[in-house]
Amino acid sequence: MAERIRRDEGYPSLTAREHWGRYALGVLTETAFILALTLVAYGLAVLAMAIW
Amino acid sequence: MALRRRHLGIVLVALAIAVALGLFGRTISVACAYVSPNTPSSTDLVEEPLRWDDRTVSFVGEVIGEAMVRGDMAWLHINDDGYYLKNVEEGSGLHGYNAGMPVWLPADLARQVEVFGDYKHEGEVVEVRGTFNAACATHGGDMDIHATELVRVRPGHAVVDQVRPWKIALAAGLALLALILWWAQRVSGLTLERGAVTRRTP
Amino acid sequence: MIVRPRREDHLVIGKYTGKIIVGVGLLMLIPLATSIAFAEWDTAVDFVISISACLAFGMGTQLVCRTERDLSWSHGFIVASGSWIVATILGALPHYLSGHEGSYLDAMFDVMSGYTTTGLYMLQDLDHAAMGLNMWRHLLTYAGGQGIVVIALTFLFKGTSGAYKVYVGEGKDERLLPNVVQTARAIWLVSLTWLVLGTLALFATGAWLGQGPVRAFFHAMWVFMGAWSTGGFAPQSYNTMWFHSLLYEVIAAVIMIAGSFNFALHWAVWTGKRREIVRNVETISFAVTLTITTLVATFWLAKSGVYPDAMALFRKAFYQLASGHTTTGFATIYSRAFVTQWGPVGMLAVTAAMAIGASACSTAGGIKGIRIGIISKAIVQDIRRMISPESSVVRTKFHHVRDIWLDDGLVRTAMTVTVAYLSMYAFGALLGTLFGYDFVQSAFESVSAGSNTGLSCGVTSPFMPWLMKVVYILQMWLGRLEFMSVFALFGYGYAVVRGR
Repeated sequence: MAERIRRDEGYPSLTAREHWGRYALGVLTETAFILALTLVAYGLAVLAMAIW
Repeated sequence: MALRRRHLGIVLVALAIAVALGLFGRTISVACAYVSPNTPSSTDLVEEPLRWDDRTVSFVGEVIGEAMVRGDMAWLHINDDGYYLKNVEEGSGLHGYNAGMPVWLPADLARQVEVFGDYKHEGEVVEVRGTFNAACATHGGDMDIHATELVRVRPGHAVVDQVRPWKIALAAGLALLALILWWAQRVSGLTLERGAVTRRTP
Repeated sequence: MIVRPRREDHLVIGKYTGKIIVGVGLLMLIPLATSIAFAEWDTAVDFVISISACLAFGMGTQLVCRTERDLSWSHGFIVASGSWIVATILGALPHYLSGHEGSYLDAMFDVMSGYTTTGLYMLQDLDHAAMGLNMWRHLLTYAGGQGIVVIALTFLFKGTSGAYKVYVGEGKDERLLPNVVQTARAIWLVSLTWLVLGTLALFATGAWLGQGPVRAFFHAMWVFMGAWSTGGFAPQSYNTMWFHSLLYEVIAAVIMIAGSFNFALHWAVWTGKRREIVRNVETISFAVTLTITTLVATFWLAKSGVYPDAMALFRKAFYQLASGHTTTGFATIYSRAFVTQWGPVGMLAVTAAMAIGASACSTAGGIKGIRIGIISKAIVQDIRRMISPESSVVRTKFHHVRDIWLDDGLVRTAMTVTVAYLSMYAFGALLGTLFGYDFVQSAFESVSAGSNTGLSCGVTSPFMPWLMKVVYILQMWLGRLEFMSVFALFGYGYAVVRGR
């Protein structure tokens, strides 16, 4: 392996368990945002079929 | 200055030759387009979907991948391209992309298919009859065929991927070269790198 | 006065390019293991040949180019673009040896398409391709999306400053964390978390839809890689139409769009700043342009009566537009169906979406949302300046993780790159028409290549004129590296010949 980068003092590991909750909320937030866009597209399709 | 220009010239000519070889390598065999056994072929269906929409068609081809059973019904994907009788590993030559149609049919008909086309198999050739849909309402607008009949035309078989001897020789030679260079790099790394010895990823 | 690069410069570039090629060779161990696991002996030997060639080249180059000097900025750009070329030439070996490619050019096209996460391909008889070869194809898009360089950053570089310069050379310049190697690790954390969650979701769905467990797993992993990297390769010729499932399409769309987000955005949302997702200029820009282009396509398709009901219309319109806008390239319709069913208006909507592309510092391509956002705000600012009294000062801000002032330098860079993309798209489109292709189709395909999308309307084919293949390869390369690194490479070459 390449030379180990000296660990910054006092900087917690990225994968520490205490972060998992926030990471999970992050994934859920992103998914919710995307599903909202999906719903808007569905709404457009319903509207379009109603018009034509 | 003059020396550099000449070197550049040589490099460019060598590059041009290599490029030409690369470009035209196997294109000769590629020129033969395939003739589908079907009328309408999958290409015809995609090119003129409205012409064939809602009409009964008969479709012959190789069943590839797998059957996806969903309740009483199932999906098969049937290819009528240049590889429906022989695939590349069997020496079919190159005839462009795959082409075919998704087929939705009763699961017991689908279960009759025993061999599916993939790297190691040439799938069964079957004939299905059914209605073509340009934008199927049941299946989210997909182009598909809802089949009611399936006839097995030719059984599938296993395909052997022969390892060619020249490949083994090439592999051995290059592997040896890589090994020698790795050892050489280790040795030079130990003597020339500044400071402590650095272990490299093997 | 152009200074000719000195021997030391060649050595530094050679050494780091060599390291990256060794990385490419090591990456090939995964498809090798796959082929061995499935007893695909001919394919396994293909990979042994390719791995050996990469390792020999990489280590040989490092042996010849021994130097203690670290990378400078210009070196970084050159290594980024130069290593892509070498990696393309050597990475094409497995494709060519498989016998599925019409020429070495076709093989290189496929590899460049993979690394740049485009998704157009020349491979013939994909439905009979080996598991090992499919593993390599999909790994290419995953590695290309993450950035070959991010991979190297993580493992192979000693110093951090040099690594950062190559990182920027690849078109990513976000500092998520103070230390650039930590930034690379944060990117990996986000990517691997999504990899696990996304693959599981697709695997479960595939199995429920009737796939056998082995195929369900590999297809799930490969479709995930294609979606997340916004690459668009699929393991069979039907692309994602194979599954015929709303659920599969929605999951794929979620992964595609998430994969198109800026990594800095992911990191902000993941570390507590959840509101960032609705405040960020790129997500806002994306949401707006996606909705507009989807609206145009949806209304046109409804008017043309192509699809029988709202669900079919939604599934087809949204999926293709989302795929195009995120520059993924997955499709649930046949390529030619864009021409035979969607028609010019539908195709132009998709073309516009592809041209705009997705977020910066992500796996996606195109002009990028941040530039669209910057240019839009700049236009509004100019209008405001015109109508405001002479003495007033008009300043605008935009939000991208933090608030940033819109200054002229920023706008100018955004516009330069945008003009470069548009010129490239136009050039490819015109070339296609010269070869006899219809303009709308030619524009669609050229934009698809240049924005690294990979949707095809049928122009791309092994029978395509070789010059177009070459031009598309260059477009894919230029588009992915956002021009700078490639210009640096040509500048370097020029300086070698003409500098003093």
